[in-house]
Amino acid sequence: MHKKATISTFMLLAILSVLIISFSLILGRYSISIKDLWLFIQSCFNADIKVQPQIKTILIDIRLPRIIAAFLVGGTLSITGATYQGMFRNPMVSPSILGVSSGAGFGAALAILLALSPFMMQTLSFAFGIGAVIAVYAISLVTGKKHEKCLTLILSGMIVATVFAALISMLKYVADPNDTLPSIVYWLMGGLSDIEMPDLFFIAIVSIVGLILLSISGWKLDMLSFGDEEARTMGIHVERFRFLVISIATLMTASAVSISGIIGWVGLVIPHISRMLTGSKNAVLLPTSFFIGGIFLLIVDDFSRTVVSMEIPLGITTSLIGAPFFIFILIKSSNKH
Amino acid sequence: MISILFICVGLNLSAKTITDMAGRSIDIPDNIERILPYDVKTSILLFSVAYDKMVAKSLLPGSKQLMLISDKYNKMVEVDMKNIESVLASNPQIIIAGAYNSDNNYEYFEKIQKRTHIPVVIIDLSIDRLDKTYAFLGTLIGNKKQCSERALFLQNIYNNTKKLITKNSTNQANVYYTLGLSGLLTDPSGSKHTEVLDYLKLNNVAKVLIPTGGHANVNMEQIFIWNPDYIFAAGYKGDKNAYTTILSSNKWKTISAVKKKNVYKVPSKPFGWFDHPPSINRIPGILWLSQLFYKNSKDETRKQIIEFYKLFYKYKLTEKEYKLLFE
Amino acid sequence: MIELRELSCGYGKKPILSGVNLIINKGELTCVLGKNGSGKTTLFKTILGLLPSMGGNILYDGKILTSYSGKGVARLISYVPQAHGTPFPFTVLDVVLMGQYIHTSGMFGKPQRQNIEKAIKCMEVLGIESLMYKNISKISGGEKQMVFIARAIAQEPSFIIMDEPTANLDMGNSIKVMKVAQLLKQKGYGVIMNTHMPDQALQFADKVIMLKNGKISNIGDPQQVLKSNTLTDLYNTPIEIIEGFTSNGKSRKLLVTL
Repeated sequence: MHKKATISTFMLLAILSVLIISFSLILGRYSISIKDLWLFIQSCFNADIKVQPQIKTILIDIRLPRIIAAFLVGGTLSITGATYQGMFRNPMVSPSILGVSSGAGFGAALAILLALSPFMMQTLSFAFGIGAVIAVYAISLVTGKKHEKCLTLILSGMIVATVFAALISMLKYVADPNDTLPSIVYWLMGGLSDIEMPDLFFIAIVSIVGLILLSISGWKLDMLSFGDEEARTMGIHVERFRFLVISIATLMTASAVSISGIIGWVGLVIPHISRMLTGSKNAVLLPTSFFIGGIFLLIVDDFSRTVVSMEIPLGITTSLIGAPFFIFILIKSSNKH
Repeated sequence: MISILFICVGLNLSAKTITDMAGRSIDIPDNIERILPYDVKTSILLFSVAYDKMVAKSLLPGSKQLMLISDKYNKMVEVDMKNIESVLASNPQIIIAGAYNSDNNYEYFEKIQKRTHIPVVIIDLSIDRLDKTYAFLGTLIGNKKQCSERALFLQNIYNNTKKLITKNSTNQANVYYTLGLSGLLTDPSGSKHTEVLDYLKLNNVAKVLIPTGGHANVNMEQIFIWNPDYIFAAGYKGDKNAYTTILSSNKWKTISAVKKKNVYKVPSKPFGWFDHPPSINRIPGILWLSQLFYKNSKDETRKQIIEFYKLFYKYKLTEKEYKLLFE
Repeated sequence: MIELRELSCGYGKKPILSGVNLIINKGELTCVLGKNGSGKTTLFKTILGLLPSMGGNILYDGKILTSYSGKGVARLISYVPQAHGTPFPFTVLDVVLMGQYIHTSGMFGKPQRQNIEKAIKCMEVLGIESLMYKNISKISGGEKQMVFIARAIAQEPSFIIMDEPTANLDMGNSIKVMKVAQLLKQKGYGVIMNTHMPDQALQFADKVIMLKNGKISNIGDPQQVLKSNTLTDLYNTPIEIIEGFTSNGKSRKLLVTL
């Protein structure tokens, strides 16, 4: 009974993902119809069919990387959010709880201030994102002997996040208000407008490998939800497992934030929506969250880049669209089966 | 009795009432010897005519040595207007602040005036009336000869440019102006940041999108829809700016300006020619654009720009340096 | 066989228990009695390896237990916690299946078909297979306790440690659990549990241990160890054992307070 529901849910999600990705290709300020798209696809295989160079550029260089990025970033943030919610046994937790977003934001702001290349900006952002979590781990190791492990991690995360947030403010303060400051502020609000294909290689690998690894660990994560001690009696090496999971989740989140800026909400809320569909078993919840999150962020990004000629930062539209959407879901569903 | 007389005489001797360029009535001392500029845009404007009377220039964040401007400017002490104590410590007689035609809110200036008890005199920074500003400064601070020299120079430029626009009729080309690294950050027309383009009646494709007059990030697809004929990329700190991004990117290569090779880096030494800040430094921008769009002769433009640098930056541009401006 | 030699255990600087010498055999039901805070849970946690010992050794069939890995210990000894709530609901089958983790061969411990079959067998032993797909937070306290016991059996251990399994249960469920414990010992498991009900120990246990003042104050056959004076001494309250007869003529002992 359960297995069937799971398989059909997955199939549905996979088909939905493909459909929405394809549909997103014809959405945009520059009008490209389904006919144009179909012609373009044909031209890839048949050299006789020609399309306007603009259409090719828009589809391949502008829309496609952005669509893939939105899907991967949304998926990554959702699956890591679900993972942390399971690991910390707290439904209010998001992927930024260990400070990775603040660290990545600082790295990016620093790169912008020093006028480094976009590649360096992504690298620095990624590095500081990871660095923040390493700092959190270090602090929790030093202080954690006398306190409960999970709580220590969360508190250390808050400490590190606050420090980095303050550093970001400081960078904003010294930045040239003419061009540097707007760039920093804009990056922090989240957005995918500058994405190019080469940027995607890293996050594609990290997120797909991470998706597989985390989904497989879902079962052990379930055992962990009974508490460290019980999990240990069932044979789990809790410290090692937690370290492994946090490492994977951090790599995934840092790679996402380094290309998309700070996008909140998705990592917190999508796991709850997934839970309503598939229940709380992590082995199913984690991969489901990835797909639902990817679809959600893709739709929101389509909206961000189509509705007005100005770019609305993705972090803003995600929250503005996500909030009423979530209220709708809460009204329609029921927690009392 | 005698002391009261002295006080009255003293007060009378050191004050006169003037009307500044914003129409405000202010009392200022008769002989102005110590001036503090309110910000960088005013510092630049004052430098060429009032250097000997400026107690400091305004603080430019992250500043290093500016090139192509007299060393005297670089060596000036900096005062941050936000730090009231250092303002008072520099002991100016007046503060000169710049505003634009579109501004009518002088709250900030009134606040400073109240807190420091130093009169704030507002001057006009609108790009098409800077000759009047220098004339006003001549009356305000003395140094009449230097002020009128510059006022005259500016008047000539305004007149010449008007003639060229009338003779050649307004250029209809689509112009896109971007700042920052990505090429997607722009200034919509109508703000003080694009006064250069608006003065020359050029068609800034970014029509008024934001009422607050700030920067706007646009969608790449919007650039395709606009398909500008000319792109001007404003200098960004460091080696790369949108100029390199645009010319090397796959995304931009089908845009008209890129195909026709009409992508230009806006010169930025010592200050940007379009903006950053929006002050007297934009005059070379006008000269350059009238060469590009209104058939001003290359020689004539070069001469005028070199003259500008001499008059306003007190710097002798060599031919080599002139060429380097555009790289 | 589990042997404790001069074991000291506790948290922080001072041990709660010291000089513990004990042998626990398979096929035996051992009950540990003591006042609140006397160290019962601490002792169990130390045996399970959740707490480091503060002195002495724990030996399993002669080998020091700490030399085994976490998984190794789990294959030998399993743990039944007090029935409690979990924030995220699972089905009963999911929970029991967790016991099979150490016996999975899949990568990252993914359960295979044979693991599921074994889990179902464990539920059948306790007669709870009908609850298989029910949500664990929706079943009664007594049923929940059974689920945790089934999980412990699914670990295929030799010894099962139960931490106050009858604590929150009504009389009926409480007796059910004791009967299950008895059943398990008959099947050859070594069952150790702590309880606050000496009469249950009296009726079901093969061995009783009393903890008082940081030491084992008494150990042995319940009939010998559990007497009015020992119990009064243990709980600092007057307790008397009286004998009675059930309706089918069996002699049983009861605890009463004066």
